[in-house]
Formats: sequence, structure tokens, C-alpha cells
Amino acid sequence: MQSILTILFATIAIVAACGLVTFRHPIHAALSFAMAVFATAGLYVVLDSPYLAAATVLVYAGATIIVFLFVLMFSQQIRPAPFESKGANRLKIGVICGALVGLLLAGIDSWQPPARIVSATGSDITGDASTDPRLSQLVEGQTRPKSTVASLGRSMYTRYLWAMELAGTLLLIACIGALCIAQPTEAEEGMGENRS
Amino acid sequence: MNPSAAWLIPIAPMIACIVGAALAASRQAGRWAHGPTWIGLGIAAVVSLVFLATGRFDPQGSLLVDGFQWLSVAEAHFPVQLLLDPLSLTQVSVVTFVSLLVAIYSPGYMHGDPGYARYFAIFSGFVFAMTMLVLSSNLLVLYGFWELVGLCSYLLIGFWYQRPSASRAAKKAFLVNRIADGCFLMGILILWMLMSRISAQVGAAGGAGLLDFRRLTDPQTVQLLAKSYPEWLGWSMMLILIGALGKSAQLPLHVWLPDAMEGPTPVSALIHAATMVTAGVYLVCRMMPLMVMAPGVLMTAAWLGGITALLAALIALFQDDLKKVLAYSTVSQLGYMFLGLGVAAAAPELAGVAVLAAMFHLATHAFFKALLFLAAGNVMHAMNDRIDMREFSGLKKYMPKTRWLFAAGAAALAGIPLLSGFWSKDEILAVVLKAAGHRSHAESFWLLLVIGLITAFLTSLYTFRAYARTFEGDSKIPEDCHPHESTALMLVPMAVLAVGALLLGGILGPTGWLAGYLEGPHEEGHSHAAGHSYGLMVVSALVSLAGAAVAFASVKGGWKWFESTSGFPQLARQKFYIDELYDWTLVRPGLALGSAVAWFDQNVVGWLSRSMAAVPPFFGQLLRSSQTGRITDYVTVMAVGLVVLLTLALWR
Amino acid sequence: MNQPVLALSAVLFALGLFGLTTRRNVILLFLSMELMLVSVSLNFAAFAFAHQDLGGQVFVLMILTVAACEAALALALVVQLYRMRHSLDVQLWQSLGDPESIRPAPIEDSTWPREPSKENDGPSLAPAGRDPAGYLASESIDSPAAAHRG
Repeated sequence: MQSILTILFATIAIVAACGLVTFRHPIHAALSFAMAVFATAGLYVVLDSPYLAAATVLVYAGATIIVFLFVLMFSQQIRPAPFESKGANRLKIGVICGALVGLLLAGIDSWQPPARIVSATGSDITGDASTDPRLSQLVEGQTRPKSTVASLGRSMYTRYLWAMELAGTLLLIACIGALCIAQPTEAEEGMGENRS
Repeated sequence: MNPSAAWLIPIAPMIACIVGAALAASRQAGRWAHGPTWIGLGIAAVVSLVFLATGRFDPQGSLLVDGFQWLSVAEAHFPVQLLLDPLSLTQVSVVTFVSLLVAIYSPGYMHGDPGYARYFAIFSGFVFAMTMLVLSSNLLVLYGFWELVGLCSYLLIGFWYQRPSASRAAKKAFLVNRIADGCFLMGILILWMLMSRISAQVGAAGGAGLLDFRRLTDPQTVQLLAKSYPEWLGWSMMLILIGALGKSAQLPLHVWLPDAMEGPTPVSALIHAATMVTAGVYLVCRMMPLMVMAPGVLMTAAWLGGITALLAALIALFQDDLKKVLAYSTVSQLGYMFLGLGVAAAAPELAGVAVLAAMFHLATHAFFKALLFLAAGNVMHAMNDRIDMREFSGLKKYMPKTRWLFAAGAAALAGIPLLSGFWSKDEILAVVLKAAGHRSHAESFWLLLVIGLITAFLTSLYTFRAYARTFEGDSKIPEDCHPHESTALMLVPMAVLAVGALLLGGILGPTGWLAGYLEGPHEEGHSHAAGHSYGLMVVSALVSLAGAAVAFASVKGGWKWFESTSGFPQLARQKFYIDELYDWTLVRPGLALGSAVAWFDQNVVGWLSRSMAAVPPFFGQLLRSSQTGRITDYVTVMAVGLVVLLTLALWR
Repeated sequence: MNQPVLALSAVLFALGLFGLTTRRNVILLFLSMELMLVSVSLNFAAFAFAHQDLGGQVFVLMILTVAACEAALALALVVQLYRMRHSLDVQLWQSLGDPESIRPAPIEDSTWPREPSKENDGPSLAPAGRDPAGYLASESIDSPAAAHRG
């Protein structure tokens, strides 16, 4: 069940990502990005991180995509822009990216799952990770409690408190910065008046 | 008066200089720039005259006024102190007094000039530098102000810098003086070295204090130096003498002074006739105790002075430019002073009279030469800046007062009996005669005496010729001129100078006042008696009267020989081709060398550096195409880098 | 079951990189970057799962935060850039390049008109801002705003 879901979501994600990079119509590209994000959210659920799934959908598929679409419309680029057809040399870049994927897959292939896993219950689980997809067993066997939003929140506001606070501050700064940057300059305002 | 008050002498002109420079910022305020100069120079003149009259010295015959430590580097200290003694006070009084009179004259001459405030600022600056030069107690500090007066002179010669001839003349003065000053500095350094070598023996501290005049001229030091390092001392004195010759425009280095007449006429009067050019004479007087230990140097000075006096007088005789006549006359009179100084070569005990004669002539010359220049300035003013005597004559009708003032100065310069020039020139001839009586160099001095007498005749001749051509005869003026007498403000200081020119010599010379003052009570009074040799007096009086007579006769008779364009007159008119000689022997080879070096620099060194500079662009060219400014290209490179890094990480 | 997720994340990352280099619309460039971030987040989540450590999930939240910041700033910049050139083509901005190495942006496909035609072929919003084109001030009938209202 798990693997089926994983394969399904992965397929959707890859197809959607391909759509993002190939669709000439920016709206279509943006929507396929949203699709990819949804598929990723599904994978989060599979990976026992429901909160992440919710957050990703909210932030990416919700806020980010909406704002992106809004800017697209603001700039009247809701139809395929003429320049989209003349991109950089796709073949060359495709080769490079293919090489990158190959190398990454090689790296993943040589990766060993952790030999010693500390379960949430505290009991040590040891075993031969290379032969046995132990982690799926763990999930399937329900030998440990699911990671809950509560446990994530506890972790966030105890061990990672400072990091979270800093991230929040960063967000605030970014908001103010975005406001400042996006404000029209006086010259532009004057231009607007002239135009009217 | 408190000795510290002596600081007022240099400080007052310095403040005047600063205020004047500040006033130069505004055209409106600049019109009042003569005010601070008058006040500053007035204070300086009064204070120096008071010191001259009342100054009391310690047993050494001088007074050291403490100043401040200018610079202290390890062992070397550079104290700035004032040395008051009869010599410096005499000189500083002449300087400040004549400066004051010329400063009072100047507004009338410089009226309406765009650089009015600049003129007065530099003028005050010059007086500051000159007073410090005279009063400084240390040879090294003296050298510093020596350069500073050179700078002021340069600025004033090139005052009308828009004029190419003026800026050329300024450059020439600067360069010629640079040669002399370079030698001077080397002389100082050699002397410094000698002094530090013997400092242990005379029990003195190290540093630049070694070059204090009081220490340098200390008899014990002088003896020690002469005994231990006679050759070094001779070289040092020779180099210092070259410095003095350069500043005082003596023969090999005289070429800058006639050109310096490009500056405003009051400047010619002050700097290039009365004060700065006498700095060389003053320097030799200062160094006299050491100079007498190097008789060869003094002999050189005597010969160069004599020849300069003669040649410059000959050149002056054939000049048509009134200011040039006066300029060569200045060179000639300075030659006289060096001749007078040189007699100390005959015997060390003549040093006192030599200094006396030179200083006496220096003082009187300052008065009558300044007077003559200012009178020439009046003429120039009236003639719309024309100064060529062929263009005008008979000005006595238009400018009677100027005429009489010029006549007074001319008479004094020519040595008409009982006027200043007569007494001082006679003093010099007398010491030469006295030197000729000594066994060493007797022939030389006899010859120099003859040269002196010929020069005296020539002096009288050219002076009165200039006077007669300008003021006497049929009245002729250029068409566009409206000759007019100068204002009272210009005439009054000239009148004061005229009084000095007529009477100063008679007051100071025959009465023995100057001699008594300069030599001080501690020396025996016998030496100044050298001043009076009645036979010589009669001869020189006759000579000068004869010169005057010939001058008037030649002008009245319109003797063509003086206008001849061939033979000797032409030679003298062309200044004996000394400028051309320099041009061919120094300037042109220098230029050729310069262009050769420039060629080398351009083509060899330049090629080398250019080819070195071509290497980085070559490599840069290779990388340049990667800077496209496109994000996509950069990201592609990043991706490639990622692939490479991953490859390395996986198959390390 | 972990390695497939990691492989997916690798593929997504590469696709994001591909999009980043091939697309020319600034907004799509940013979306490609977001895709790369998503792939990294997925990696973190997978490792969190494998290690049974909540730190990985917290990291994903951090990435989300930073992505949100980035999106906010990026969009602000896009708005400004659009004001300058009235286009979203990223190749219009090459001023940092070496002057001699700059190539003009490739010629556009002639089948696509650069300016939107009057006959709108899609949904369109009025440009944002305080009356940027004088829609409210202008009373003329043929102004777009009037047409819109009509």
C-alpha cells in the first residue's frame, strides 16, 4: 500500500514537474507546479508527516501559487509570452541535468539506511538495513506511535525554539522588505500622473 | 627693549601675509590689502630701528633670542632662534625700512591690478622670509628661509603669469637659483659633518645646534676646523660661496636677474635690487670667520666680483631698456660688494674691513637702487608700460619731481663726491688698495683695483646716460601716452629714499659710525681707518665726474658709437652672448638628453610596461565571454559545477 | 521504501534546475526554484522518517518559512522589474555582464504578439496600483476602464 502510494505520488510529481518546465503557457506551468506540490504533500503523508503535508499545501499551493498567479495577471502575462519559445539550449542543459540525476541516483544507491534506529518508544531496533526495508516494516507494523502534530510542536518550541524565532523574524523582515521594494518610486508616480 | 620683542620683526609681516592672502579671496576686500602690509612692515621697521639704536649685546657681541624647537629628531635639533648682532640688525633695518617705503609706493603702481591682494600678500611674505633669513641664528634655518625668499621672488617675477615672458623669467630664476641652492645645501651638509666630527673636542652637543652661527664662528672652532679638515672646509666654503653667488647674481649665475625685471617694478626695486640679492653678500659676511680660513675661496669671490662688476657695467652701458640698465647695474654693484669681501683673502685681519665695506655699500646701494627703480616705475607708469629709452626722451618737462629724484639716485649710484655711493664705493676701493699692499695676491688686487676704477667710470657713464636719455634733451613721447607726474603717495617714499641716497653714506661712512657699530667696542679701532685714502678718493671722484661728463656729452652729441650694431657695442648689447652660451652648452644638450631619455622612456620602458600590461587582458579576454550577464548562463555553470563536485564526492 | 522518495527528490531537483535554466519568464524561474526547494524538503522529510527524528520535519518548516520569505521578496522585485521594462523576460536584464559579451535576447517567436491584442483572449485584470494608467481619472469613453465598466 505504501509503495503503491509512493509510486503514484512520485509519478504525479514528476509529470507535473515536467509540465512546469515545458508548458509554454505560464498559467499552465504554474498550475502544474501546484500539482507537483500536491503530490509532494501526499508523499509527506506517506512519510508520516501530516503536518508538513498540510503546511506545504497551505504555503505553496495556497499562498505562493496564488500570489504568483496574481503577479502574472498583474503583468498581463497570462498568455504564453513570445519569448518562452526561444529558451536556452535545452539539449545541453538536459544533458547536464541528466548527469546530475544520474550522479544523485548513484549516491542514493550507495546510501545505507541507518543501522541503528532509535524508535519513539525508546527501544533500540537493530538489524540489517540493506536487505530489509525495515522502515516500511516499522510503519506497517505500527510498532511505534505516529509522529503527531503535538510532538512536532513540542520539538519546535523546545529544542528548535531559537531557530523558529529567527525564522519568524526573517519572515517579518521579508514582509517589510517586500513592501519597501514594491512601493512605486516617486518618479514612477509622476509618470503615472503624466500618463493620466 | 625686551629682546623677545625682536620676534615682532618677522611675525608682523607674516601676519600681514596671512591677512593679505585672506583678503585676496574677495575682490572687494582685496582693494584694502595694502593696509595689513603697511601695518606689518611698519611695525617691523620701527622695531628693527629701535633695536638698531638701542640694542645691547652680551660680551660675545650678539644676543640670542629664544624661539622654539622646530623639529627634534633623535640627536638633531632644529631650534628657531633669532640672533641679534650688529651685522644682522644693520641688514634687517635696511630690509624692513626699504620694504616699508616700497610698500607705501606700491598701491599707486599696482592700482587696479586684478592680483592686487596677491601682490601684497607675497610682498609681506617676502619680508617675513627675508627678516627671518637675516635674523636666524642657525645656518640650516637660514637655508630654509633662503629658499623661501627664492619662492617669493619666483612668485613675484611671475606675478603676471599670463605673460609667457614673465613665467619664463620666473622659471629661469628658479632654475638658476636651484643650481646655486643645491651647492649651498651641500656646503651646509659638509660643514655639518665637520662640526659633528669636532663636536667632541669643542664640547658641544650634537644635532643641528652645531650649525648655530655663534658656534660656527667661535674662534676655537674655526681654528680646529682649519687645522683638522682644511680641504673639506675649503670645499664647504666654496659651495656656500656658490650659493651666495647664485642669489646675488654673480657672473656664472647672473643670467636670471635681468630677466627678473618681468615682475612689477616695485618688486624689482625691493627684491631684485635692494634686499634679496644682497642676501648672498650677507651670507658671506656671516660666514666670514670661516671664509678667511679658505683664502682661495675668497680670492675666487674677489675675482668673480670684479669681473662681474666690469662686465655687467659694460652690458648696462648698451642697454636700451631702462630697467635692464638698472638690473645690470645691480649685478655690477653686487660684484663690487663681492670684490670688497674678497680682499680678506689677502690677510685674515682684513676680514673686518671687508665686511664693513661690503655692508656699507649694501646699505647705501639699497637706498639709491630702490629709488632708481621706483623712479623707473614712475616713468613706466607714465609711458603706458613702455620702458625702451629709444621711445621717449626729455621727460623732465612732464615729470619734474621724478626727474629730480632719479637724478639724486643716479648721482648717488655714479659716485658723485660726497653722496652715498661715493663714500661706500670708495670704501671698497680703499680696502682693495689696502689688500694690494699685502704681499699675497698683490698683483691680483692691483688689477682688481684698476677694474674697480674702470667700473666706477662705467657706472657713472651708464647711469647718467640713462638719466640723460630719459629726462633730458628734446621731449619725445609715444603717441598714445599722456605723461603725468605720479601721485604724492608714490613720491613721498621716493623722497625719503632720496634723502637716504644722498646723505646716508656721508653720515655713516666718514664719521666711522657704521664701522664702530659693526666691529663693536671689543675690536681695536685701527681697521676702519682703511676707509680713507685721500689719493684714491680724488681719483674715484675724478673718474665718476668724468663718466658723467662723457655721458652728457654722448647723449647731447648723439654719439653713434653707442648705437652701433657691430663690433664691441653689439657684443655688449647682446650681453656678451652669455645667455646664448648657456643655451648652446647647457640648455640644448640638456634638451637633447631629455628628448633621448624621453624617447627611451616612451619606446623602451613604455614598450616593456605596455607588454607587461598586455598579459592580464589576454587572459581576461579568454574569460570575458563567460560574463554574459544572463542568469541562465550562470545557473548552467553552477549546474556543471554541481555535477563536477558530485563526481568528485562519489569517486574520490 | 525510502530510496524511491530520495530518487524522486533527485529527479525533482534536476527538473527544477532544468526549468531554472531554460525558462525565461521570471515568475516561472522562481517557481522552478521553489520546485528545487520542495525536492530538498522532501529529502529532509524522508530522512526524518528514516531516522525517526523530528529535526528533519522542523527543517522542512524552516525551508517553508524561507521559501515564503523568498517568494515575498522575489515577487516584490518582479513587480519592480516589470515596472522598468514592461516585460517578464529575464534576458532583458544583462547589465552586469561584460559589454562585449552581451548578446541580445533571442528573437521572439513571431507567432506570438508581444502586446496583448485588444480582443482579450483570456481573463485579465486591470493593472494594480493607485490608478496606474489613469483609469479613474480619465473620463473618455474609449478608455479601457470605461470599456470594462461598460
